[in-house]
Amino acid sequence: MTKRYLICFSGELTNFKLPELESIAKIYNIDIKYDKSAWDNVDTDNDSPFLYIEVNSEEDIVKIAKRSILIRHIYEIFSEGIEFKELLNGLNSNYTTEYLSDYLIGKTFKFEVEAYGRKHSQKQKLSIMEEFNDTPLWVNGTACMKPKPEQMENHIRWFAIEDWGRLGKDIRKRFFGKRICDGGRETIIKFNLTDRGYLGTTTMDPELSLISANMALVNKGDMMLDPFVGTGSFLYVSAHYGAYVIGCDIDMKQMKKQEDLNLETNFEQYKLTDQFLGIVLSDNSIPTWRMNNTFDQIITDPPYGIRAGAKRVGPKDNRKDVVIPLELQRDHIPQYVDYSVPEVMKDLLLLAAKTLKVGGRLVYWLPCSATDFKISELPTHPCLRLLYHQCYQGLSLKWGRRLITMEKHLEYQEASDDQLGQLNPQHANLRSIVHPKIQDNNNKQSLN
Amino acid sequence: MKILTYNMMSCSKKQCVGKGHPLKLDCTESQTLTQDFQLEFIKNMIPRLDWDGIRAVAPMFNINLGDNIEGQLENEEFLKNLFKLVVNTKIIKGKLTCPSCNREYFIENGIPNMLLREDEIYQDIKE
Repeated sequence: MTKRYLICFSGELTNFKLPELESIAKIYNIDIKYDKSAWDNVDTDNDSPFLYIEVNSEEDIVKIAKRSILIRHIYEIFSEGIEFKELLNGLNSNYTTEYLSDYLIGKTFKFEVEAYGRKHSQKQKLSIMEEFNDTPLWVNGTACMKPKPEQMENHIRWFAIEDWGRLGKDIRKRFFGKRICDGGRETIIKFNLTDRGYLGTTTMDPELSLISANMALVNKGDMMLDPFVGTGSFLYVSAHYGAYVIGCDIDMKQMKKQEDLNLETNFEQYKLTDQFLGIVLSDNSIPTWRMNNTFDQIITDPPYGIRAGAKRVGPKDNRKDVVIPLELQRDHIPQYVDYSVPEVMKDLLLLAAKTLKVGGRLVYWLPCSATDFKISELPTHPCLRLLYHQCYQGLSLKWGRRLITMEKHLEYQEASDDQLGQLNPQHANLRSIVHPKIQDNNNKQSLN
Repeated sequence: MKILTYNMMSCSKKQCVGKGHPLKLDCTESQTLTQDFQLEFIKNMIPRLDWDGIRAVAPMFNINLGDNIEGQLENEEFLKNLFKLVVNTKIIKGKLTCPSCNREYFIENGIPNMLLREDEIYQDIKE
């Protein structure tokens, strides 16, 4: 028999919550059932942070919640309705008087009110609680505001929960039940950027890094790669979840700015040094990995050239046919040329197709326009299957970024150019989305 | 970089794909780490390892894996030695050489420089 629980999600990043939930269930191999129409309501004013989920046991839902970054709380609901009367009638008809009155024998409890979309004063909360006077629940049990840790096993946290919608206009639903556990949001605090030693301008914030690791199914004993590692945000969170991690970057300064403050010292700060396999100075257009099903996941935020153009090693026109003398070869700093975004994407997917294990995931961030996004603009590879593209985070009214999740579902095979997708993609010229004015000026100049 | 990372690597040159490994390792400075043995992880890594590379570097760090590697994959003593080699050995300074084209890559401060020079890329395009 399955058990039904109510999830209360974080109100932010609403279109990440279902992909994250499904990914975590996959990590632990837990069967979940929920109303799939929830996918259609995401990111509208009508969106609700509440979702019923069916699992096989309380143990399963606690496991999922502890790992989840977007789950705030898990409740077992005893009754629901729009009016208090309906709620109370439901409670008294769903359960026998005997069951309810015996429920709290030998237990302590606390009764709290939580509202989504509204903020209640203490007085309003009290009056909401008083609506529940007419139930046999309160016959037994002792109220306890601050239970000691050893009391927690027999302590029940009752909640009257209200859903007023995102805009807080009308009451949509009231629930009454007990809180089972909280989600894993305190992990975000561990990776708080203000406490992190070594940072850069493009460091990904910890909440999004952790969600990316969940989407990539990072698990204990995995081997994870970030081919554009920068300051290492994805490495720390993946190591936190038990993976062994490797980073590559074309820019040594990014990885090792100072002797006493760098990517490696961050690992020491988080006590994750054991999980750190090393960093490699490498250009992703000429990757250094032998072809093998080496990595369990690749998680990355590729360079897109919004602030500074992406670069790869290559000769500019003035250095073609110039051979570097033998004695200068060792310490030669190579010349870089522009690395266009479609090329960056093509090389990233090729790397994933070659080096991921079958069933392994590629998770990457892609800037895109807020208004017109087409799946056909994404890069494709016959060995990789698109799983989620819905995870969109708005950064301004005009543009934002998407977390793209792909799975390697076939052993590597060569792909022809027409299988690689991204025909005339908007990300070919991201600056035109982010800075439309600059683009207009350029156009005018070229017309002149 | 740990030996495990080194084991996954190959020459960066496009013409060396499939034959640019195992890279020949000359290690002038290394460090031995003390992480506890992780059985699940090492078992997970076994199908991904390049055994020619493992055989070549084990004696450099005085780790004896025996002659018959394939026959010992269930032997815990062997797996512990393997873990010591691939996870608890860190290369700080040295050189990697491609067995196919003899290109040398240098390792400084534990970071291998696998970048090619622009003239090598240009040669590659011309070929």
